[in-house]
Amino acid sequence: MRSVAKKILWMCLMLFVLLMPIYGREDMVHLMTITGIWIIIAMGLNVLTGYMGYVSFGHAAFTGLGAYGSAILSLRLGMDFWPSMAIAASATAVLGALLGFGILRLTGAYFSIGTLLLGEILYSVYYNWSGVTGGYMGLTSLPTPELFLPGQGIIPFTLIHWFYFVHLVVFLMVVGIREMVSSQFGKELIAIRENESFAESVGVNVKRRKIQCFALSAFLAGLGGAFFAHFLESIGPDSFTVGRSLEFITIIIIGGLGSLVGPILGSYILILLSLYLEVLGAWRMVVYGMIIIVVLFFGRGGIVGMMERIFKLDLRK
Amino acid sequence: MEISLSTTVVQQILNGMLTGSSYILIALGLTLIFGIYRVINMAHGAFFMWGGYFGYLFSTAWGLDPYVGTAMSMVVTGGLGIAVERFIFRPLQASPEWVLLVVGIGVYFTLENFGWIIQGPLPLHIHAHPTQVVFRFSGLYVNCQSLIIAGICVIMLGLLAFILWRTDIGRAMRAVSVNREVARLVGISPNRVSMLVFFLSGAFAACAGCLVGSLTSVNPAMGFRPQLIAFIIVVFGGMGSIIGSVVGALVVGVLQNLIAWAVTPKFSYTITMLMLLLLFIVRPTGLFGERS
Repeated sequence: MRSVAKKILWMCLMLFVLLMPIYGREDMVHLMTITGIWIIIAMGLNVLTGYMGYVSFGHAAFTGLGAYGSAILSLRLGMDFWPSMAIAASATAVLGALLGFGILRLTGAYFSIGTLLLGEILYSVYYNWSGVTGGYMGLTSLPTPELFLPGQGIIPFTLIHWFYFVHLVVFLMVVGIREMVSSQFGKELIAIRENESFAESVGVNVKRRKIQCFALSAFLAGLGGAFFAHFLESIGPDSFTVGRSLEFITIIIIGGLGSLVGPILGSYILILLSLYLEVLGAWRMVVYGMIIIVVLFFGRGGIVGMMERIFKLDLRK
Repeated sequence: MEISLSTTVVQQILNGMLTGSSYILIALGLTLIFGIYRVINMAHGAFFMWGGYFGYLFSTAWGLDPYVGTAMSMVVTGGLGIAVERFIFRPLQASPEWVLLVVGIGVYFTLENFGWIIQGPLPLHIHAHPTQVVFRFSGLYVNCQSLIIAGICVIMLGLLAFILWRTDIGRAMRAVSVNREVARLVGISPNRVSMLVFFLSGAFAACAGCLVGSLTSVNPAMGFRPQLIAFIIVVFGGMGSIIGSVVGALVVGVLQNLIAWAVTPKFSYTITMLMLLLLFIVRPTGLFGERS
C-alpha cells in the first residue's frame, strides 16, 4: 500500500514538472530551472557527504572549476556548449580525483578543514587570476546551447528547453543514484561511512572507493557549474565562495543526509527562503543560521527524517 | 636615501611578526577550545567581529579610553562565548563530529548577520591615538599601535601560561583536556572548566578584534578570513598545542608578508594557503601536535 502511495506521489511530481513550463509563470519556470541546477550539485555533494560521510566545506570550488572551465573553453576556443560542458565536467572529475588523492588522507573534521582550505585557495585563484578568469568582474556573454529539433533545424535553447533539460538530468540522477545506492559500490560507500577501518578489514578497497566517490561528486559539481554558467550566461567569483559551499552543506543537511529526495527538498527550501525572506534583508541569514541550529538539535535526519517519522514512509530509497 | 635589500627583508619579517601577533590572539582561543573541549569552533570569527564591535561601542561611541574599551569588550565577548557553550555546544556534546562543525556554522551565520542588522554595512573606526605614531629606527618603520598589539599579545600569552601552569584552575583545565571522566572523578567540574575555556577564547578573540579594528576597521564580514587563517595556524601548530599556535601564527604572518613582497601581493594569500594545505595533508597533526 505504501509503495503504491509513493509511486503515485512520484507520478504527480513528474506530471507537475512536465506541465509546469506550459501553464506556469515564466519567473517560476526560471526559478525552478536554477533550483534544478542546485539540486544537481547538492545531489553530487550528498553522494560524498550523505552516503560516504565526508563533510566537504569546499564543494563550490568544484562547481567553479566546471563553470570557469566550460566558460573559458567556449570563449577562448570558440567551442559549442555540449563539448565544452562535457570536457569541463570530466576535467573537474579528473582534478577531483587528483586532489582527492591527497585530501582524502584526512578524515573527519580534518577533511572538512582541508576542503575549506581548498575552497578558499580555488576561490582566490578565480578572484585574482584576472587574465584567465576575468577577476572579480568574471566572464560574460557565454554562448547558449544549441539544439537540433526535427522540422525546425538547429535552434538555441530557450528557457523552456533549459527547464526540461535540467529536469531530465535531475531525473536521470535520481534514477542513477538510486541504482548506485543498492549496488555494491553504494553499499561499500555506506560501509565506509559507518566504520572505515571495519570496511577495510572486510575487503573494501577503501582508498580507491573514496577517490572514486570524490571524483563522482566533483564531476556532478562541475556539470552543475557548467549548466549554471551557460544558463546565466555570465559568471563571477562570488558564486563560488566558501560561503556558497556552506550553503550546499546546509541544503543537504536540512533536506536529509544520505537520502534521495533530501537534496531536492533542501534546495527548494533554500531557494524559497531566499525568495520570500528577501524583504527581511539581513534577517534572512539570521533565520537561515537558526534553521541550521534547530535542525541539528531536533531533527538530525532533516526534513526527510521528519517526514519518515510522521508518515512512516521510507524515503531513503 | 637608498634602502638596502636586507633592510627591506627585515622590514617585511617585522611586519609579518606584527601581523602574526594579532593572529596569535585569534588562534589561541581556537586552540584552547580544541585542546580542552575537542571541538573545532566554526563560530570563532564571530567572537572576533563582535569583540571589535563592542570595542567600537565602548571606546568610540561612548568615548571611553580605547584600552579600557578593549578590556570591557573582552569581558562582554567572553560572556557571549559562555552563552554559545552553554546553549549550543553543551547540549550537543555527545553528537558526531560533523554536527558540532555544522552547528558552529549556523551560529556563525546567525551572529554575523545580527552584526549586519545592528552595526549596518559601513565600516566603523576605533580611534586609538597610537595608530598615528610611527617609530623610525635604522631604516625600519613601525606603527606604534602594532607594537602595542605585539606587547599585549605577549602579556596575554604570559597570563595564559600562568593560568595554565601555575594555578589550580589551569591544572583543572589541563586535567579535563587529558581525560574528562577522570577529571570528574577527582572532583573537577568539566562544565565549569568549559565555561572558562569559552570565556577565555571569546576574550582573546575580542582583544584581537579591538586591536585590529583600531588599525583597520570593524565590519560584520571581518571575521571570516581571520577565522580561516586561525584554523590554518591551529592546524599548522598541531591542534590543541599553544606553543604550536604561537609559532604557527608568526610563521604564517611572516610567510604572507614575504610572499607578497617577493612574488606578488595578489597571490600571497593563495600561495600561503596552498603551502599550508600541502603541509596539512602530509602531517595532519601539525608540527607540535600529538601523533594519533
